[in-house]
Amino acid sequence: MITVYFNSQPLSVPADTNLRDILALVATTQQSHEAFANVAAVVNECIVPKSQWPHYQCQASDNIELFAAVAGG
Amino acid sequence: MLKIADHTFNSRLFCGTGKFANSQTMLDALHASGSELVTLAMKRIDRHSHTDNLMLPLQKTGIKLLPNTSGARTAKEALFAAELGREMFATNWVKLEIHPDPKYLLPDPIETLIAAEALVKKGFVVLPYVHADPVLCRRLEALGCAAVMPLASPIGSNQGLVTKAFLQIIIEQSTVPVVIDAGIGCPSDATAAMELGADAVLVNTAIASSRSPQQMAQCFKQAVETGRMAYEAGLGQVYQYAQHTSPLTGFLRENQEHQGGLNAL
Repeated sequence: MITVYFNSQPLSVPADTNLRDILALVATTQQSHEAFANVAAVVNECIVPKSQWPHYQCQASDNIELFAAVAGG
Repeated sequence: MLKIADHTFNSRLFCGTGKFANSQTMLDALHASGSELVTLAMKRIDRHSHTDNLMLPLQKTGIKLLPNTSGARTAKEALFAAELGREMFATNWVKLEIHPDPKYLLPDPIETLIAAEALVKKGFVVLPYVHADPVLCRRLEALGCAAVMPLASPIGSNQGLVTKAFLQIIIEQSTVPVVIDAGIGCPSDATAAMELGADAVLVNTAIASSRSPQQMAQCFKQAVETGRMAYEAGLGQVYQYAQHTSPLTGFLRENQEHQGGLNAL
């Protein structure tokens, strides 16, 4: 197991976890996979394109953030 | 038809999506507005909090979505936000807004100029939110911004066209579309902005915070159309003194001298 950080909160995951696995893990019941269709993932302050999520192998101490669209003017 | 970059719009009313009581109210209002471009912000998702997915219902409407960089306090942060928006919305359009001051939310012109230059170089279609500064708008236009979005008054203030005299100069000088953004408080403000010759207006608070957003959105739709029609029809000149609309000579007697008062009776 390794520890990564999701929005600065520690999260223990298997060592071979990729970014897509992480995002599935942190999805709440309300946030279905469909809801992740329009989010952007940022790892260590770098945007990881959606096409790369399955290929991004998480490293210990990675800081993972997820951004979504919200209402705004 | 309004054209910004490679996109044409039938509607000259752009809308924001903030402050609506719920998603359905927002969708109903957007539908009533006839708007073809709406803005959205971006936010970090917290793990256990439920975040409404705004994108899915909005995407179904076919309305073009414009991510903004709200929350950015510097050019560097705005660049990051723009990249996020490109990834999230699959668009290279961005409403560039950098307002570090939380009290008046006035845009930082220096950071905005720096960010605009970098974003244009990266291939973004940049629509910068700026103060009604004609010099800054010309600089942004020269950098390659697709439009300029000068403010009418502070965001969400409903104060109307406080900057009118400067908006006029911007409209006169600009060769890119001018979208009057922020502070438009009522439909007549939108009409006035369009009568000035603005290419479009962006309205959010005035619609979202009204008692009936759907009805207010329809009012704004009509107001913008009326203002544009009036502009195209050509408004009359403003004079300091009265200009008669009926003949003033030859009434009763030719060359009669004015005699007023009781003696004239």
